[in-house]
Amino acid sequence: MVKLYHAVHRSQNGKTLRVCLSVEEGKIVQAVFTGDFFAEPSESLIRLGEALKGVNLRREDLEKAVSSFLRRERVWLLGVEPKDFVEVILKAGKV
Amino acid sequence: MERWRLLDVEWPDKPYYNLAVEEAIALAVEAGKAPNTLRFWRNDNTVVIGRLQCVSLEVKLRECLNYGVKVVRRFTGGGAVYHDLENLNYAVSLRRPTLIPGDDVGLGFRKVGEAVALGLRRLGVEACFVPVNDLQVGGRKISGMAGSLLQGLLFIHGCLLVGSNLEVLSKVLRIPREKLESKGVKAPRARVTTLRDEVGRSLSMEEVKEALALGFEEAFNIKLERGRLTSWELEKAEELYREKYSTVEWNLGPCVFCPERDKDLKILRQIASEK
Repeated sequence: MVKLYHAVHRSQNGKTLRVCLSVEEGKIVQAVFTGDFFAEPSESLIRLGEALKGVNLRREDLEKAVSSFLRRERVWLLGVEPKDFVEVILKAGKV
Repeated sequence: MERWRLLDVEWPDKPYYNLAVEEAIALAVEAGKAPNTLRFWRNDNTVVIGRLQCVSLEVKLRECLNYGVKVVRRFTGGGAVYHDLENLNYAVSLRRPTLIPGDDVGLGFRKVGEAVALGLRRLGVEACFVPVNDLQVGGRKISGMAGSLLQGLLFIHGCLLVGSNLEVLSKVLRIPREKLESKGVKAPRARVTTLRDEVGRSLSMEEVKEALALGFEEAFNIKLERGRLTSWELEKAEELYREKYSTVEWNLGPCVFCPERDKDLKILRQIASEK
């Protein structure tokens, strides 16, 4: 069964990162990140959500998937760091 | 000394068009069709949300409908803000390479913040830049900035609370509990201030714009010259208005999850159709 989650996480820089997440059998089905931080190109945020499809809700798996995507797509971030994406997903998954 | 164009062009009752003009200017400067530009402008009774925000999660859309508040998404990141005629927007479009090291957006916020602070000093207010993108007076926010780095352009804009109605702001925006807790305050009203409150007298918008313009000239070592929108910019603005800023798809955004999405789409349509 697909379960829906939402979480809000504050970065060290005081920015808000939200995730809306759907999960089936411990794996991400869909993830949408939103918030008041800065990212270029802005479309890459949607692609990050897509790239996480099928990834286990485990810290190591998420860290690997997030950092390799951000590096590959040369995403520029201000106000949040790669680890914040991992934190917000884990927070959502815990609820 | 480098000369920048100073634009004082606004459509306060047409926020979708105002934002379209904002991007048209940026694109014109990026394409070398217009010089580096500083624009002053206002919206009336409008919530402007950041490029990466979910409108359903950040804005109380039904309250917006009640208060006649329009909702529009901008092309830069950052957080949701409330604009009325007592809020002044400033926008800087700089063709790359700029004098800001690495054309870095974060350093851009600092530099533009410095320019605004120099302007405010002329009005007797001491403001300081607080990273990532705020200007504060005595620990309270008076101005927030947002920006974008395009291939050929560094773009920074911000809004300055001259005397805005902060009561409406707290009624139409959803402030996450996590944000309020981290700021150590219960209500958003407690962490912002207005220029009028700080100066302790009424100020004309002209006076504020003049002070800010001098602040920009000083900080960037440039000369501002009053100009107007080019026909290219006007055409581009029409196109962006039609195809982007006036559409509910753009303003609703990418969050396909929201259970209320269909309802929110209808409210956004209703908000857009109200005069």
